[in-house]
Amino acid sequence: MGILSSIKKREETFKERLSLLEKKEPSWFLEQRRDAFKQFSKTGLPTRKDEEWKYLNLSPLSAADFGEGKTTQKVTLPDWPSLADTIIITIVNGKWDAKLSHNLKELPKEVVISNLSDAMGSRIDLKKNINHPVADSNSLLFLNTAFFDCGLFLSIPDKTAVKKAIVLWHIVTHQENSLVLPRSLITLGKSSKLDLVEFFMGQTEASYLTNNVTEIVLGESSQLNHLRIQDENKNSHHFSLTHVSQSYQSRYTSASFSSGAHISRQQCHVMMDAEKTQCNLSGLFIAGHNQQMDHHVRIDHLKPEGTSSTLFKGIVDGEAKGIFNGKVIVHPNAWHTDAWQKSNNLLLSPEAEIDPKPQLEIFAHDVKCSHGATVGALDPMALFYLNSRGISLQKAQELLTYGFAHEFQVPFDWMKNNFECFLTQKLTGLKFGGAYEEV
Amino acid sequence: MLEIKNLSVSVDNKQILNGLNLSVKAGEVHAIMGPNGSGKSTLAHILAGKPGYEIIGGEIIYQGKNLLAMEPELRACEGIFLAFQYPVEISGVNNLYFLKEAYNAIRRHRAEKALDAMDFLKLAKEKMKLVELNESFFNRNVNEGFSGGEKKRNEIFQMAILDPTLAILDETDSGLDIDALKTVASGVNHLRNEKKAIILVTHYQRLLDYIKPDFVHVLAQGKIIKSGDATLALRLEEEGYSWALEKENARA
Amino acid sequence: MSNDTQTIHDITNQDYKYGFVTDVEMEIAPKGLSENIVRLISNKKNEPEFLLEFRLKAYRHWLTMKQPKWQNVNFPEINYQDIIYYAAPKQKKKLESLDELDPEIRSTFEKLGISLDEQKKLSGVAVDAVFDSVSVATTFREKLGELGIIFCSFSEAVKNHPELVKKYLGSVVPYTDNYFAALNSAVFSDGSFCFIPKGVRCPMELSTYFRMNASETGQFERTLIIAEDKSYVSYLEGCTAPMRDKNQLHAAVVELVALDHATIKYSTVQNWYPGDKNGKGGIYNFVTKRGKCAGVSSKISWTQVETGSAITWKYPSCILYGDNSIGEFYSVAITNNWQQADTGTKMIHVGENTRSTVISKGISAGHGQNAYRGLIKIMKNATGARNYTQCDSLLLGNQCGAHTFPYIEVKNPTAKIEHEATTSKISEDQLFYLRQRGISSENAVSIIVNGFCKQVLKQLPMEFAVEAQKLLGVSLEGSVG
Repeated sequence: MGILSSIKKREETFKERLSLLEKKEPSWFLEQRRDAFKQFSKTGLPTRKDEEWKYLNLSPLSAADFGEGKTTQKVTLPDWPSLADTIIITIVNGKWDAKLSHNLKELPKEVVISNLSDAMGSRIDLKKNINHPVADSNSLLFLNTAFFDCGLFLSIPDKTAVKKAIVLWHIVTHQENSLVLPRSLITLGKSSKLDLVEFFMGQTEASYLTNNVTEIVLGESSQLNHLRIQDENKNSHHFSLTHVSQSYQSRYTSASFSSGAHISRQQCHVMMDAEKTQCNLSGLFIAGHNQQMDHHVRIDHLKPEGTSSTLFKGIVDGEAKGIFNGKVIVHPNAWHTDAWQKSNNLLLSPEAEIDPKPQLEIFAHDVKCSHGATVGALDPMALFYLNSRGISLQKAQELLTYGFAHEFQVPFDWMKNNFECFLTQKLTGLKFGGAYEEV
Repeated sequence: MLEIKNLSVSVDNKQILNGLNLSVKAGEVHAIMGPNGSGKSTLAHILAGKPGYEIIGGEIIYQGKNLLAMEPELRACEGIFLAFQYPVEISGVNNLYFLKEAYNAIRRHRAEKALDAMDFLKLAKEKMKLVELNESFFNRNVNEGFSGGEKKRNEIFQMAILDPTLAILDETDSGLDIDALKTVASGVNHLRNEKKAIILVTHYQRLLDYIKPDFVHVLAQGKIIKSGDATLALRLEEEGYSWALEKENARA
Repeated sequence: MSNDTQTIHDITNQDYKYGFVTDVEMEIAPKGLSENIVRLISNKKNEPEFLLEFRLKAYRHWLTMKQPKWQNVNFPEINYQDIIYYAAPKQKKKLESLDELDPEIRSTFEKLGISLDEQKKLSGVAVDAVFDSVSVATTFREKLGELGIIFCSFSEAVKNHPELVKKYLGSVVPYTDNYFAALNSAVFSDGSFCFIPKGVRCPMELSTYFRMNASETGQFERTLIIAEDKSYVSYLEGCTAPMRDKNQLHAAVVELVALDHATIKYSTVQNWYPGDKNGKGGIYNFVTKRGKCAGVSSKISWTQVETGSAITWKYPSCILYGDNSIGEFYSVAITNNWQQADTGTKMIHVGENTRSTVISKGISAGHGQNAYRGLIKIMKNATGARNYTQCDSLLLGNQCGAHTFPYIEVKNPTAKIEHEATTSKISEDQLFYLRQRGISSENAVSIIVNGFCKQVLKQLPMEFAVEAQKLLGVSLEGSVG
């Protein structure tokens, strides 16, 4: 029995886990783990009655029996040519595997990479950086906090611009029904700069459940360009929370691409808790077959003169369901906030569904905010035009869909070509309303 | 009519005008020229009473009254008109309706009877010939969706209606093609008479080919560094502002 | 700058002009709600059995429900046993003509600018005057009757046209719909009833004016409008209430049914007492309004100007059932002092080629909180459905809030949905521009606010537009040109 469905198993596993961690982790964090365990036990998985989970059907999840996994398989590193010149930190089934990493030596000496449990034992300053209270929080965060194993700590010191991008290569090799709980804490010192890629993919066809938490703390005037690619196998499920807290004049640019997993929900929460912060979020998701893909984005403008933008594009085909939920909150005193939010969606099939909900909550005056949402299909006139020039219907649809998707850009030039190939390949898999084969 | 004495102004703790003096009499046309950032637009804004500027010294006397103590709408009622460099768009507000409100506010201030809609429409139709606008203009929202040239013509049209005593034109020539420039200039010339004064704030000499100024002033480093007649503008056009600036700096 | 703030302050602090109390003899039921009270109401009105059944079913269902909590407003728990559910001005006998109306009530409506005197009519408006949940007078009935139009109080409709009431009551808003709809279905006392027969274009605006007078009463009226094939009606609704320290509950239900090619235009100027400057008193305006475009090419258009009430919580909605049917929602909501508004619409697209337009303008001042909440739902068979939504917010002052919660659910790939929203404050540049032209800052704010709302105000019938403009504290724009 797995820890999701069996209370007894859950309690035993938790006890066992704690006894191992007691030597490593400080008491304040063990306390947080205990709290999180209690919270998760109380609520269990979210349900559709919760407003923030209203459009997602999690019943296939409750039916399965996810628990700790076993592995036999070997791991391969990514075959993206553009990643050859990056620093790759390989995280297998939620645990960092130092031996499988790539180019680690090229990191500046002052950059810290370690096991998060160990880091917390030696650094009391991490207390304020980990486990930020998250609004609209959910029991999956508690589940991760209670059970994650080791975790990863990455720290860029002040005034350090890391030249090569760092890639967190999240791989799952476990067998059926395993629960994978990666946890990362990434801190950027004053005036530092980093290109970060988080890559999630399965190297197994098994149905597993990834429940990732990444916390990012940006120091004054620091800059993070962040790309997330969620390409889990179509039998698996993916949940993740990215929490970012920003200091004065820091800049966070994020691009999130997803096309994987059967059921997925990715939540990004940015706290602009200092003046003159800047945050640009973009996303592209492609859902086909019977996928359910949910993106939640929340930006809190807490201090004056912050600028934020959100652009999410959704492509939904087959019997899939796409969900976008954006929330920009301008708190009292966050004067001169400039925020815009846009959700554009393309429905390709009569059985597909899309539910965008872009929200604004404004408590300060002297702000400039706007949001927009569109839902539509491919333009039949444009399709006809391409057909009349001899292009096949499938190809024309792919081309127009590519045109729609193109506004989404990865935040690094060096990866552009490589990403475009990847995107084209993903679009070729679309059926434009036609039947999908059973996976 | 207008006496500016030793005016010093700052905005956001940055000093823009620094002891500016200017005297304008009825019937005169003054051109204020100067390089970008010299404080020309600031001067125009100060005369109209735009909020956000700090007066750190000096005074402005307009028709014997302390202008700086007056609210913007009172200045307008007393005959001051500013043709804006960047006229703002106001959505949902009908152009003609807005102008009627303004016109009647000024009339009421002069203890004259407000015009009703029909009489005002007649006046507006007559005045719009001056700037070669058509009547569709009336029903559009204030400056909304206007081209740059239309906005400037609208400013001159408003000036014709409101019939000010002192008109300040802030870079009215910028962004106009030659035909629009001629139209605007003829509109201004039409309003010229011995009871009125006009201040033209401009970067280029070309407007002065069509509106002949009585005086030309060079504004630089926050004050007027040189004054002269219309020929000064031609000299500036030929030799550039650096010529005037160098002379000024040499003198200092 | 302080000047502009002062102006906004002055404009937004105009007093409530309709706060007087009328002294008339009332017949009042004891406080509280029970099956007996429901029976008493039905009995007082000599209702047929089917209606009592309807009420009792609703009451029993209400008992199983909880007051919803999801809306973005705050108010203390309502004690439903502390409300009077039936209050009616005493009338000794049935009125033979309008002249027999209690002079106190007549003068109340005169004071509110509503003339019940047909001879003195200014414009083609027929009025149904509702005083504390009871219809006291309906004008122009004979004239309308000649065309086959039924315009009367709900009670009269129950008496004279029970078959129509039975057929349509609860057909758009079933008593199970929500907490307040259930409550209303159990205890509604009166309201207006309109029936426009086939092919008739109603020659005048029909209007109901609601006046809440008695204290500690709730107002629960019920409006039902049926437009048969190829008919047209424009209906107006206005409301005011005296100033009282205690909050009063107004939970109305409005149902509209438009058959093939019929059009219903429903306009509301809501000016219930909003409470005082400290947020004390005021009406809780929890209303369920819904229209069903049942027929092909039918159209329902809601226009609302919401300036009153302590809390406004309503979503006039359209179910676009017939193919090619059209739903529209135009709204201006102003919250000032401590007022709260959570309002918007639902457009449910069921039929093919259905179209909807939503234009919402929210203005917040003082400590006001203004939320737009809207649902655009495109069902699987709504091929070719279109929606355009625009919601803009204007903030006057630094303690108010504006919120937008648009829900979009699309299950058909041929649908085209566009949603746009902006939030801004009054621009200093615009204010200065107008003042430079000699317009006082007070008028300048009015002009800008008026311009901001224009898209909605122009939807109102002329008679109402004037009143709405007055409410906005602005002079009528567009009288020229």
